[in-house]
Amino acid sequence: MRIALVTACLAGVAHSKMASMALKKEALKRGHEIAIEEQGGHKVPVKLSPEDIARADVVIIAKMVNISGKNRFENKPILDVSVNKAVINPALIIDQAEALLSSSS
Amino acid sequence: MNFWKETVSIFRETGVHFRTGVSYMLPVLLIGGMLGSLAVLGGTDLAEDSIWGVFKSVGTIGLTYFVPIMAAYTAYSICDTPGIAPGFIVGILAQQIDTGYLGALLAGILVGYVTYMLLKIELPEMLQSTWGFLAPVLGTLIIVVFMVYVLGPPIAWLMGVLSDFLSNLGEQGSALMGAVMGFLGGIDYGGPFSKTQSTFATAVMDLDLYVPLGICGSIVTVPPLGLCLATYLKPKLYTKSEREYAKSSWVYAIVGGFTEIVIPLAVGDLLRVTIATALGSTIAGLIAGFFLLELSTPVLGIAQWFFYNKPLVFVACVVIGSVITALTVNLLKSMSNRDIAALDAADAQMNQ
Repeated sequence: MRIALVTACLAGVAHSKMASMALKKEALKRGHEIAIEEQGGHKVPVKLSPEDIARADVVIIAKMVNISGKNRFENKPILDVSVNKAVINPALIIDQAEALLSSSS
Repeated sequence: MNFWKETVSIFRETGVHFRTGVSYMLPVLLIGGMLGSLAVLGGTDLAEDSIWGVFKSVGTIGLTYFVPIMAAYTAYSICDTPGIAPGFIVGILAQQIDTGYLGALLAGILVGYVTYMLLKIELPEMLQSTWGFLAPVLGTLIIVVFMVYVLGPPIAWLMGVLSDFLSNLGEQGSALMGAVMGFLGGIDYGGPFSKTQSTFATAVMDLDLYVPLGICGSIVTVPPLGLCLATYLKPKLYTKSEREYAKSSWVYAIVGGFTEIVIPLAVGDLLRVTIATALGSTIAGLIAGFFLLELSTPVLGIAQWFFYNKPLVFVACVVIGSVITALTVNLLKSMSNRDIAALDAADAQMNQ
């Protein structure tokens, strides 16, 4: 499975980073590919490339604040979760993403 | 019906919209606060045309316009780019009719909602693009009238009462406020309770009150530093991965001052750790409040100690709070029978 992940938190310092690290670890452990974009008030995001988005089977948005550029993911299965949940229980989130993919395909 | 479904889905995420506004507002406050604080270096009597005078006035710009920026991006969160301009305008209006932060927040959410709904109205193709220009205008107009004649007066009254109350708290009142803020800041590591107290602290900057931010600044460093200290004092009580984490996390405590970084140290033993950090933060807040510690820059790290009006009080708060947290957590942990060896083994297995 190929995942495109966007995380967004209030200041863009702590939660977005922790969530992306937790989910990346879990995804790689299960042999998924993952591309990451972190957003927040104090940083210039490293954006997902159009290829990353086109290739992704599923998009995970882990947010505390609304993300910018949500329209990039039209026609993709999107899993919308809270950033805290992603930090505390990444395995559950990846489970949900897998379930979402199998139900939409 | 579609209308209700949209309405419900917007208002169910009120918290997200609000936090999005805060997220865009923080850098404005940061620039204003830091430049304004630098002006202090020039002394108290500033000539308008000196470089310090320039810093001071630039600082004031930031500290004035963070409120409309917040309203603008709260509306942006609801209805994307068309919401920014209406949000900005109602945010400035909210300030001018003395409803401050609270009024701007409500106005931002309402104007975002109304504009979004207006844009959803289906029209013939020819009119649709023109409507794209007009909907934000109409939305702004509706909310402006609503704010000035309906919502404005009661909020302005409320803000006046709040401002009077907070300005006249005195030492004991502030100490109590500090204790409450410390408790909230120490129990959920950047979750809803912590954000409530830190948002409150930044919100009242709009009323020229800086003690709450001083309290906030001194309590956020307590949980991370306290827990780091605890792992150094009694490493035997912590798993290998917790110790490794603590080794690098104290750096963040000093530069950033946010409590989220202790989550990995806390999740393994949530109850005991939470009791300890809440206790440490409460006491730090109590001291900060009692000495009326003020901070006018929302940069909450130890490295920013010189921005406080009483740096020594700040250092005392952090040291006392951290030591209390460290001693409490180690005492509680030594009374528990957490099997460190077993947890280490489980960790090792997971990383294979």
